[in-house]
Amino acid sequence: MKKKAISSLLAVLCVIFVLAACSNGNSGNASNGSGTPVNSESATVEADHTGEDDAAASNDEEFTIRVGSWFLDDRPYQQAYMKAVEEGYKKLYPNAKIQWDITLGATYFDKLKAQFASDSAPDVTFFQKKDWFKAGNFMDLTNEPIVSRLTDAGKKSPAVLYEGKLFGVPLGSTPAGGVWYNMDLFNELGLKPPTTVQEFMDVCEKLKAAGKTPIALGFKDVWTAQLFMSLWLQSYGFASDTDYGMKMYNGEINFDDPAIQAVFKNFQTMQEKGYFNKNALSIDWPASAQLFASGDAGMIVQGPYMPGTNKDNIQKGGFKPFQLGYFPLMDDKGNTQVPVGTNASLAINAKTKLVPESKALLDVMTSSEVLGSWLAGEGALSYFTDVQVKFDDPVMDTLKQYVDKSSFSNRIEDFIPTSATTAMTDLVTKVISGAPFHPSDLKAVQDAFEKDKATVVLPY
Amino acid sequence: MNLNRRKFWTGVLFLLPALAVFLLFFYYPFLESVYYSFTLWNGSGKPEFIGWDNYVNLFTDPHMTDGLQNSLKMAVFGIVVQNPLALLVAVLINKRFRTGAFIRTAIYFPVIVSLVVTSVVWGQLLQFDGFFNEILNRLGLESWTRDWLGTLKTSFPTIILLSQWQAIGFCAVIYLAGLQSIPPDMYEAAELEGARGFTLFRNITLPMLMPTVTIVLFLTVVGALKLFDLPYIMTNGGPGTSSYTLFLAVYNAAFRENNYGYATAGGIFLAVCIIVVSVVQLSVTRRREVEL
Repeated sequence: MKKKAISSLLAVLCVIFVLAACSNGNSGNASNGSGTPVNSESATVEADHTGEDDAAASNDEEFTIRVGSWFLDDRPYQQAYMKAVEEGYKKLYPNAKIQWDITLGATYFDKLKAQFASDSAPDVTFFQKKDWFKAGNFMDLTNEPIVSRLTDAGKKSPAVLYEGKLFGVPLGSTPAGGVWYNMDLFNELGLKPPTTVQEFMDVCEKLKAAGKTPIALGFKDVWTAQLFMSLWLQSYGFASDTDYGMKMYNGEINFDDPAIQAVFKNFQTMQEKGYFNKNALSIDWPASAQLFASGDAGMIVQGPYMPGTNKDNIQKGGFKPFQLGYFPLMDDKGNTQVPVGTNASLAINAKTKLVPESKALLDVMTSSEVLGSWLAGEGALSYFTDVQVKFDDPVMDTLKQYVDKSSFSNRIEDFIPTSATTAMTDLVTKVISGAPFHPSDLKAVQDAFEKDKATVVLPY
Repeated sequence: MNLNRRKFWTGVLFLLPALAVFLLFFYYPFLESVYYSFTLWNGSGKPEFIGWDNYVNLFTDPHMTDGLQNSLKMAVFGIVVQNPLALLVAVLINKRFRTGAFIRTAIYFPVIVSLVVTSVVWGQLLQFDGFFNEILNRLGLESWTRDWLGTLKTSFPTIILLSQWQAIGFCAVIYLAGLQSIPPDMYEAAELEGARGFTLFRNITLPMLMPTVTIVLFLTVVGALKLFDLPYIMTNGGPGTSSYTLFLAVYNAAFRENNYGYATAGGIFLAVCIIVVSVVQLSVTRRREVEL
C-alpha cells in the first residue's frame, strides 16, 4: 500500500517536472522579450533592416511583436497613431501582428520593471527615465541608421544619451506647459493675458466676479498639483538664475528659500480668495479639463497636449467651442521660464529575439507620415529632421514664442529626489485644502531632500 | 522502527513539493527583503548597503509617521466602535423576525461589493457638489457642506467611516455564527433561574462568545493596520499627508518614489507592528476568555 503511495507520488512529481519543463520552454520566447514568434526562424534572423524593399522581399513570416506604452489611450490622435503604425508595419511584414501592451499611467513603469526583471518585457518600449538603460535593458542604437535622422538636439537629448551612447530615440520636444485660458471669455470680460503675479490675481478676481471658476484644478491626480507647483517655481527660481537647481542640489539654496515660499504663498492667497473649484482635491484632471471645456472655468494649468484634449472635450461634451490662449506662470516681476523636455522616447529591448523586426518597427513609428500628426496631438516639436509638425491651433505659435524666449530646459525635479518633490506636492494639496502655509512646513521637504539626496541622477 | 522510518520519509516526500514552493516563494523573498531593507535601491540598479539608515528615516518621514498614527487610530476605532456595533447588529439579527433573512443579507451585502467600486461610488457621493452636500443644502445646513475627502480635518475620518460600512457587516456575520453556536439550553437554564435581558448577555452570551471576539478583534486590528485600498483610491493620502496609512506610505515609497530599499524597511516595520499589536491583543483577549 505504502509502496503504491510512494510510486504514485513519484509519478505525480515526474508529471509536474515535465509540465514545468514544458512551461519553461513556452515562456522562454516571451520571457526573452521576444514576443511570441510563430515561425521560429524569425527569432534567429539577424540581418540588418536596410529598407522597405529588402524587408518586403523576405518578410512574410508570422510573428507577434510587442510594444509597451503608458499613454496610448482612446484619444483620437493616439488611436490614429496606433492605426498608422499597424498599417505601415503591414507593408513591411504582411503577416506580423503588433501587440500593444498598454498600462495607462505610472503603473506601466512598475510593470515594465518587473517585466525586465523576468525577461518578459516588450520588444519595443516607450520610456521616459534613464534608469532603464543604466540597468542594461535597452539596445545600443548609436550606430543605427535611425540616429542619422535625429536633429542635433535629439542626438544630445539627455533622455536617451548615456556614457556617449544612444539607447533610444527621443520623439518629441515638449514644453512642460503653463496656463491655458478661454480667449473668448477673456475677450468678453475685457481681460488680457497677465504678465505679473498681481495681474494674474486681478484676472482671477474678475473671472470670479463674472461667476466663473478662475482656475480649474483636478488635484486628485497629484501629478497635476506637482505640475502647477513646478511650473511656477520654474519662473520664480530659474528665470533669474539658471543654476538654481544645481545650487539647491549643492545645498547653497535651501527649501525655505524666498522663491519657494512665494509660490506657496501664492497658492494660499488663491485658495483663500476662492480662485479654484471647490472640489479641486476630489476630482481628477480629466474632470477638471471638462470643467474648463464647458466654459465654466476660465483657466487651467496643464501640459502642451491641452489644445487637442480641449478640442476633443468640447466635441464630446457638446460645449460651445472657444479659442484657446496660453501664457506661462510668472514671478512677481514678470519673469517667465518654460522648461522643455522630451515627451517620450522609444527603445528596443536588449534581449529581444526580433532584432531586425524591432528596428523596422522603430523606423515605422518614427516615420514622417506616422509621427508628425501624433506629435501635433501631443503639442510637441520633432526631434527628427524629416518629420514636420503642423499645428492646427494658433495657440501653439504663442507657446513656441515663450519656449524660444526660455533659456533653460531642466526642471526643479531634475535636481531633487522624488521624495522631496512628493513632500512639496503634499504641501500644495495641504494649502489647497485650506490649511495656512507656514515656512516651517518646508522642513519636511528639506528632510526628504537630505534623506534621499543620494538617489538624484543629475541632468548634467 | 523500520516502519516508522518509512512513514517518516513518506511524509517528508509528500511535504517536499509544498515545502519547496513555500521556501522559494515565501522565505527566500522574505530574507531578500530583509537584505534590501538595509540598502539604497531603486529597484533596477545594484543595491548599496547603508546600514540602519532606512529604519532610522522611518521615524522622521511624515508619510510614515502620519501613516502609522492613522493606522493606529483606525485599529483603535475598530476595537472601540466597530466591534461593539458589529456585536450589537449580530445580537439583533440573531433574533427571529419576519424580514430577518433580508436584513442579514443587506448587512452583509457591502462585503461582497468590490472595494474599488465602493470607493468610486462613495467618492462621487462625497464630492463638494455630490449627494451628501446636496442633502445638507436642502436641510438648510449649508455651513456643514465641504469637500469631505479634500479637507485636512475630514478626509481620514471619512475614510474610517466608509471602512466601517463594509467591516461591520463582515464582523457581524462572524459574531452571528458565534451566537448561533451557543447551546440554547444554557439560556433556558439561566431563564429558569430568573435571568433576563442584559444579565443573560453578560453572563452567557459574552463569555461563550469570547473566542469569536478574539478572532474578530484580531482580524479588525490586522485589517486596520493593513488598510491601503480606500485611501489609495479616494485620496491618495492627501490632502498633505492627512489620510496616509502605513501601508500606503510603503507603497508610495516604492512605486511613486522608486525607493525600494526604504519601502522594504517600511514593509518590515509594518509587519513587526502587526505582530506586536496582534500578540498584545491576542494575549489580552485570551486572558479575558479564561476569566469570563
